[in-house]
Amino acid sequence: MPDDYLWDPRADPDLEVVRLEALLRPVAYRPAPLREGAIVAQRLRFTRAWSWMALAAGVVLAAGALYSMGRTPATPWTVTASKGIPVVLRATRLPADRSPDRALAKGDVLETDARSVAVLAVGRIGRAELGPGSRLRLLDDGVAEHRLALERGTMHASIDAPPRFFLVETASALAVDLGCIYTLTVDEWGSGLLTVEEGEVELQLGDVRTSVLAGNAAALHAGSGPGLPYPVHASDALRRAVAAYDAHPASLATIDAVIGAADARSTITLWHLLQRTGPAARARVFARLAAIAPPPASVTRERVLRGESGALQRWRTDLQPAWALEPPVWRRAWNAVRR
Amino acid sequence: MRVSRLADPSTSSSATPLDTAALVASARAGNREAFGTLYERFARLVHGILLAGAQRDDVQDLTQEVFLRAMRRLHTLRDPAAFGGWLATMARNEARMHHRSAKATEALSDQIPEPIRSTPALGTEDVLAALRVLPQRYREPLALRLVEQMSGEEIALTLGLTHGTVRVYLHHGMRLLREQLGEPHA
Repeated sequence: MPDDYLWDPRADPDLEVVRLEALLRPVAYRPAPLREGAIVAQRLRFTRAWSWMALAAGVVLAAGALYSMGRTPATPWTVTASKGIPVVLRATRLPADRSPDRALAKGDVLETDARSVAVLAVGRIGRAELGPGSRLRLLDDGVAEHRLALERGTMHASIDAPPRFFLVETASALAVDLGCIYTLTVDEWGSGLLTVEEGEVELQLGDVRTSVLAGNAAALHAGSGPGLPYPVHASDALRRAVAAYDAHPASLATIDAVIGAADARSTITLWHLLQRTGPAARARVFARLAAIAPPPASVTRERVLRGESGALQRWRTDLQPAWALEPPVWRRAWNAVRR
Repeated sequence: MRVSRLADPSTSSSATPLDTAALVASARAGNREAFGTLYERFARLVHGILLAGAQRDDVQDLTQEVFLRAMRRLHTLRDPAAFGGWLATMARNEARMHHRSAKATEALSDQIPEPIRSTPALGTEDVLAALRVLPQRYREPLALRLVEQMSGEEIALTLGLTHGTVRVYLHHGMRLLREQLGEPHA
């Protein structure tokens, strides 16, 4: 099947898209030389003209900030205790910090005991609530990425950032944020569970990639990484089958159990299974998935059995709209306010 | 464990990550011409990302700002082949900071923006305004596609997303954009 115009501007034009392109053409990039001097000069002029006013405004703002410090929103990487007494273990040789207002620095560890809960301002992009018995390390707070390591426990993250900017390492997989809200629970060895409430998270271990969209979950397994994703409302039979497959992925019996338990609401599970099975089992998975959701014409059985990435991705494009179960509008609005 | 590095979002079909890495290395050594070439290649990407988040009148200047900042910080880039992704992140941060400072001077309103009603006189600003209220994951790919004329493949490479995800974002984003414009679905 040829690519559509929205994907490839060289394809047959879609008049509706063409109309919007024409309307937006006046704001498209117009080639202009890099004018280092002009920008610097402009900045300097601005600085001179406004410097006194800025100074006066700064004094007023500083006074206001001092007055309202207790009520201002969290500054980047600030830790607040919502329950008990969370501890910040400094990467430097400073003693552990139990003071009520503190911020994590690169390398620092935030730890909660069995009775405490902490909230961390994740840079300027969101917040992460750390449940009891957890340990979280700040690895990178840079402009290119924000990277944490969840060494154990539960983290509920609510993030509004570009895809792949917020990353969380665990002992068994890397959780890559694609713009979302999720809960990640792991033990020291990396076994645990990811549940996505809004948006999408990609779990990575080597070449293994698991896409977990809103309304879905995936287990993490020490040593073998991310398991198959499944809808949070999946039947008990499918949950058991996925758990058995994750534990014994080479077993045809476990593959058949997943195939047998999957239905039209769990094509996310079958599509990921398709990627992970060998050629023999892949034919059985293909037959089941094709029976539930026939592939587009360009995605032939032969291409899928050969494991062609392009064919699998094309099929995914058709399947994916049914994978995400985003929360209702009121819940999303509430999440946005909390973030 | 690291995320895989992004490929080159160059506007030139003949460009490769290797080209970009070599240009970055040369620019780091002080070759302004090499940086100029990088600017020509990546300006469209930076402009598109900024347009999705910053005020239209400022985008041209902000594009220059991002490149000047990149020039100053080029020595901090760990992987020269990842220049495109690094630059895109810088552009997003610039847009975020600009949006925040612009927002501070705007009058506050409790109103949720109403969809723009389709009229024969629908203009550039209407479409741009509708685009900007979309969730971030849709507005950036759509801006790169509809405004900057990048292909889905280029967008996927730039943003480090799979082809499938970009297809979904583009199609779902178009649907939301039409809704926002008060137009029926195609």
